[in-house]
Amino acid sequence: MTDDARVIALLKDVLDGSPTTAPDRLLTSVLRDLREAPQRRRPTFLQDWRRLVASRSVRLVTVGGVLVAVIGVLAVGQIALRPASSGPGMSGSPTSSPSAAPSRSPIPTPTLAAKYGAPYEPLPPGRYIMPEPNTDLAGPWPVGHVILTVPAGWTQDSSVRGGGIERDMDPGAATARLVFGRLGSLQPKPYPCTPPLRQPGPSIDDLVTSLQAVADVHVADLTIGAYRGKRVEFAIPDPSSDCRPLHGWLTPSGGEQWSYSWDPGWIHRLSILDIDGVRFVIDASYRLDAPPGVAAEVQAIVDSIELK
Amino acid sequence: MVPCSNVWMRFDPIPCDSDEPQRGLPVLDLVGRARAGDRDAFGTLAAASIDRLYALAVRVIHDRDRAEDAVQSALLQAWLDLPSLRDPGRFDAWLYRLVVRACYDEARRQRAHTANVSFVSVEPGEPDGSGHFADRDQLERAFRRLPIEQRAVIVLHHYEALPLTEVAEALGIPVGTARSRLHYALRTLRGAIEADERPVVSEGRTA
Repeated sequence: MTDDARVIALLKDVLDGSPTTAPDRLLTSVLRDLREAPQRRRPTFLQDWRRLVASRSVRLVTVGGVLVAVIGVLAVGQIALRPASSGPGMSGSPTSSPSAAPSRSPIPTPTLAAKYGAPYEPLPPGRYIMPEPNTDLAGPWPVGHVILTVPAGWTQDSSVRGGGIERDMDPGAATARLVFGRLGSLQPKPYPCTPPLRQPGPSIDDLVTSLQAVADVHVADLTIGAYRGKRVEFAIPDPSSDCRPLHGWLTPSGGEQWSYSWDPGWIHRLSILDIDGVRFVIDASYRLDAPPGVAAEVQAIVDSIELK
Repeated sequence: MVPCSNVWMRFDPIPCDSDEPQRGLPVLDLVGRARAGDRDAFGTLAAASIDRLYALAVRVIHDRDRAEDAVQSALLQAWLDLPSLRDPGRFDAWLYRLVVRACYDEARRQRAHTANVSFVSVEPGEPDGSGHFADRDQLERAFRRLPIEQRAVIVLHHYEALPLTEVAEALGIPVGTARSRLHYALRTLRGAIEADERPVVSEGRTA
């Protein structure tokens, strides 16, 4: 009887025997193709729609909207159209979107389509639902929805695992950023040149204690909706040594480890919430040299956050 | 130099600011820039992954020329459709999928051209006393006869060392299907070696 180990050993032998390097002409051909081919870009509303239909709640809103529209059309056929007495009055919803129900929709929702799928496109100011990330970020996403008010000048950043927004369009020159995520374990060596870190226990207090060991942090109690936790603020000064950056935490996702790190030259305000035993983190950060008003803008966004 | 930034990046033991540019955060940055239409960024990504993609393709398709065609076609497809990639963190898996699909297409074309002219022997090889080499040879021939869908699972799992969940993601199939393809592929390969080891009792064609 041939066992699997022997088969696999032979198989690896076979697989290892094939070439591992592409001929140079292949890259040359690819780069030549690249010069001549324009990227396919869907119209923005299609991207929005694709994002929208991925959300069950938005699908419900859409179906509701369609039903209302159908009823409205039928009603128009029988009676004269009267002006609406009042709408639901959602403040801060500045744009329409494919999912936006008619203004007389009976379904109350603060939903506004985030322009996910359109990387680095500016978001019109307004109130947004951040869709559940489409990544398996350390297990199920602990909150149903993160709802927040985005001021002018911000961009969705779909490169961020867990979701995030950035101030200013150029992703390489963002002056502020909000990132959402689950916190797994802390990086064992938060700075490349420091001794290994003792892993904290499961509570937020344990975590704060460990963070205090590696950074000068200011800690305050925090409540967002029904959830309580800590607000932790610290700065990563511009380094003059090799001791940078500060590596934050590791989070397993899809069989890989993802590391969250902080660059020097930024101030971070972490809102760490205990959501059913999961440490959910909102990292609101801005550059030390950000223009005046950015810090207040970031804080206003954090203050606007609802978790549902 | 690998810049670091306060964003998620795939954890990798390579430290920031090392001279290995194509792992960890820069990939996400490059994917983001390439999605925004930066050809240079995509060129860098292509250059960084082309050997790996070619190695995958040549093992799945068993033909160097067609493997080149598959990789070229997949990378062009990647550039064209990159704006529709939702999660840059899945760029690698997405590339794998495009390459494997391109291999399937190449294999279909190959079948169309050769179905009437090639004939693959299914006779077990004569024992030649060389042990390992005979088994290896037998296994290689059996591997080439596997359905291309099973070869893709084998190569991603046993050569690229991807866990089955990622193999399934890369191929766009359920994990159970990936597991089942792997199971049947290994059973076929094991059977090929065992058939070779059995004493020859007749000279008939094996089923």
